Amino acid sequence: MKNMMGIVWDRGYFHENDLQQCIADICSLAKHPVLNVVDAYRVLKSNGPRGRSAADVALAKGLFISQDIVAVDTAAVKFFNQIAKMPIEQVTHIANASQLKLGNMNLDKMNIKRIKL
Amino acid sequence: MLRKTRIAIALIMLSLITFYFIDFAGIAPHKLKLLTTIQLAPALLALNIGALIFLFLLTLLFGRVYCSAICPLGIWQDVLETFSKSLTKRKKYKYLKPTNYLRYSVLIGVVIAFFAGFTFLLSLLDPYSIFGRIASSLFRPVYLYGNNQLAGVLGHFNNYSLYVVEIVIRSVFSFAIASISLLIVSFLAYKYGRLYCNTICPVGSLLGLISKYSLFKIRIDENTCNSCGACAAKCKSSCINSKEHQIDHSRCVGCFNCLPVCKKKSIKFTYAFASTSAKEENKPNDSRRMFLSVTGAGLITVPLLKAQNAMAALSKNKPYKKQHPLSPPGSVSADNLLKHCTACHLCVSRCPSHVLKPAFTEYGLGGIMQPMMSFEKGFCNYDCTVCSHTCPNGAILPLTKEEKHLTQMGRVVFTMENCIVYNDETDCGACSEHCPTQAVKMVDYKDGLTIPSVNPDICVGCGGCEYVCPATPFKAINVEGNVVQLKAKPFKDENNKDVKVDSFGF
Repeated sequence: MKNMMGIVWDRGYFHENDLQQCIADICSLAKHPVLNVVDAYRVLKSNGPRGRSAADVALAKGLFISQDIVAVDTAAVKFFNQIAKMPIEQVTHIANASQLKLGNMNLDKMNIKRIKL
Repeated sequence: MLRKTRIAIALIMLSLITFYFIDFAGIAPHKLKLLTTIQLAPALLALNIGALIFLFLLTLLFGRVYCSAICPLGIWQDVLETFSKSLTKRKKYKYLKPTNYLRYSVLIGVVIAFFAGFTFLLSLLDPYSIFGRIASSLFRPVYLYGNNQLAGVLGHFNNYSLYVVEIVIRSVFSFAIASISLLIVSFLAYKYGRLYCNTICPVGSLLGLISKYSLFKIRIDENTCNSCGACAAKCKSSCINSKEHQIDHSRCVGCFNCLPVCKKKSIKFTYAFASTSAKEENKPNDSRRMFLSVTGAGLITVPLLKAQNAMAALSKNKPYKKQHPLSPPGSVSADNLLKHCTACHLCVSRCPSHVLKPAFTEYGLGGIMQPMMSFEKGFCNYDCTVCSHTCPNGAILPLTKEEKHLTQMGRVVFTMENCIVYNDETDCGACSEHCPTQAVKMVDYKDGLTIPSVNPDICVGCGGCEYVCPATPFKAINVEGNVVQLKAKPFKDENNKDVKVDSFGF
């Protein structure tokens, strides 16, 4: 979801006016992605989003694909939480988007294919 | 032949230097820097021995050909002079007496002011720097505008080989100075030929002192000359006294315009000591000159210094006022900048992120128009060393990428009372996102929120945080300049073992 900030010119406005709500709001655009892919092959685990050195990177080799933007982010955060502490409750834009009914946060009730290679 | 060679070299020189200044797309090869390092003022200030010996020998051999073939402002004046000749036919120059008092007092005044820390005077009068500012503040925006228009037209035909670039004028004051310089110098050149070079220009006066003794000179053969005055009418330096068959070699810029017009072939560019009839001109009175210039410099400096103090006392309405400006990476210190920079604005032109801006009085009055870092339009790229490699004056010394990473231009200052997280209790963290060393780090605040925490020791002063801070009207995070650039402590990588993840986590 946060990736959607890439289409925003004045991101300063987002930061100034409740960032987490803004990120949820921008995902409510009528024209939204049909398939969401989270690439977690090399994961920046600290000092993001810029990172300082290769020490900030972990090789996690994960990949998440879903049509549900909220679900895919939920899964990605829960996966990331194993690498560096980041409870889903703290990533509030996901809960905000769920409230806006942009997708489903409750992964237990979804049909998920977990594939290990 | 000599004249045509001179014109060819001059035009190549002018086009290349101009292109080096206005190029935004990285087309101009870095080797063009050579053309700026052989300019006299940069070579003197950088103590570039090779260039100085070259220029000294060149002048000692052929006189002030520097002014006609190397100095971009000199060539620019010749362009206008040619233009004026095409408009007013039969344009004639007349011999004028040298204005020795004026030109030597300017020269000495500039030198004294420079050693007294008032570099601004040199910046204001040095021809290379004048041209640099004109190219940077005036030609460049025009070039960019042309590019943008063309890109727009091409875009209509689905051709995207050109792209639109932002036109930025960083300092109104420098823009005004550049415009005024352009108008004055161009007007003088249009109307009076090389009047600027022979009355004001400190570089011209300095070279004139050497060119008096140059080996090759323009000379008039008294035996064949019939004093028709054709050569003098062509002399844009007004330095040929055809009646007395005398040429003021300290003012002759070696343009060779006089050579082809002489029907008798009496005026020639020859070895100077072939004939002995040359009379030495009166040497100007040194003590009187000295007196004039010292008083002059004093008269300017004292009231300006007073004005500066008054200004500092007045302005205190911003919550964070920088005590010191940030000087460009590699400039060592504000003092080093003051001792070397003549404000040609090459660095300002070439800075890819528009961080460098001509200072007003931030460095004090002596440093007016010298470059400083200012974060309204961008911040200093962590890996970029462009300005340090582009300076011909030795004011900004070259840095490697690794040295740049540890060069601390300023130190971060956090003002919590202005911060979005503190005031609105919402997430932000834009500053930390931009920080290359994590000198600004987000730490736990409350209710899952994080707030910036700063470690100035590892800060490099790039200004990413200040640029991006969304707090209005006043930023919550600023960078305070270092008077002398320090070495930033290298950041320590957290000792994180590589994490093995084997489950999905959901």
